Amino acid sequence: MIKYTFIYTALIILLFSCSKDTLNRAESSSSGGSGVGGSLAKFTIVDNYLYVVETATLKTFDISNAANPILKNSIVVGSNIETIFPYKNNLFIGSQNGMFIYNITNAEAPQYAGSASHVRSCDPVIANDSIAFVTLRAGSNCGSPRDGLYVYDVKSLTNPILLNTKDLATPYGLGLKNNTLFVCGGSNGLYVLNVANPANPSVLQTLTGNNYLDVIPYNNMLICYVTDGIVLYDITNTNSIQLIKKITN
Amino acid sequence: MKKLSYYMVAIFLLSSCVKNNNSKDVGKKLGYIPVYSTSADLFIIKSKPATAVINAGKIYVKDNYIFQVELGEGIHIINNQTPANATRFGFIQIKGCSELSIKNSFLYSNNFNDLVVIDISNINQVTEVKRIQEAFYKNGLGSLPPNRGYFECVDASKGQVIKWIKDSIVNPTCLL
Repeated sequence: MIKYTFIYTALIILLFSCSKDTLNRAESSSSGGSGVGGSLAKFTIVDNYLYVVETATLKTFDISNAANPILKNSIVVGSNIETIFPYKNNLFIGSQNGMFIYNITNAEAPQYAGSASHVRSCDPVIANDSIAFVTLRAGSNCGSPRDGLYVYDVKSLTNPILLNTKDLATPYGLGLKNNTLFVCGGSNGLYVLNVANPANPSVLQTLTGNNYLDVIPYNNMLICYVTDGIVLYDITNTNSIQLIKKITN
Repeated sequence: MKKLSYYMVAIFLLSSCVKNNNSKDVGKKLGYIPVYSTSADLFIIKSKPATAVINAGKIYVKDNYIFQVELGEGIHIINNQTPANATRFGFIQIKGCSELSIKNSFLYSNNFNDLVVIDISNINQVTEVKRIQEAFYKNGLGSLPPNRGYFECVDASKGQVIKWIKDSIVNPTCLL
């Protein structure tokens, strides 16, 4: 009986979603000599392991010998998996129907820890210890009702509590540096928000001049992926952000 | 246990949502047609001069370099040692590429469905050090049309699918 329940459940999950999205955002944290990724992450490195998501599976490669990855594990997660980002001892795996959470305390064999249907892969997410910021954009493949920044209490990973929503036009990728949140607003600019009180984010300023799609805060620099190139800002002082350079396509 | 593995296989197959179209007489439909290549260059990883960005993909930062995927073609490298003078520096040819991640001086990417490990310690002259063939399923990274709908089923004997073009298909037999 159990196996039939399993297969039926799997089939239902799998048949539920069959679409693709083009722009996702997930944060990859830097760890153990690896770099920092922006959006569309289907690869992520946590210490000595490379995790790869594809349509339905999560694969774990041991890269303790970086030149010689060894496949250690391959598990079925769900359908139409699109993004992966690590945070602490968990992998957040995004599909359009929800976010699956896998615990990697045993790095070689990720364990299912829960899911959060509130957060989907087409909704860019960034999180710290207790708060997750999510942008929803009307007209994206997920069919969000309206544009906005959503703030969740994520102390319980599988049960996020909505703290607040803030209207922001056409939000795409986002990045967090301490108490400053950067949200790409496409042709509407790059919103810089103070989130010292996360339940009540306030816009400090909006940078304009580009069509902003994604950001990576990296030390004192903000690396922005814009439609016609890459723009670098100095964010040493987030009250006085300076343009460093634009590298055109 | 054996049964379980059959179910796993079934899940893999269904997860891509590819269906064979049972009703053959659907007529002429707009869909995607695969473009094949058998060029030996498809699986050669090499350093090339900096080039313009055409189909920008994901960005990645490591130390003094910014990397950006050129979808299907490879990875752009920007030298960011002096940010005020950040410039396009070079390009790594990785056909079929859509992903990257870096640990120390090793870059991981997908060369179509192969996982490749590239030594970037000499950023001017990168080298492939390891390849795991077909590490990703055919239906995983990159072998399906970009959007849902009818498509001409892939015939692997014709080579590697390098892109998809939209065209009308008579009695298409694959549906995504």
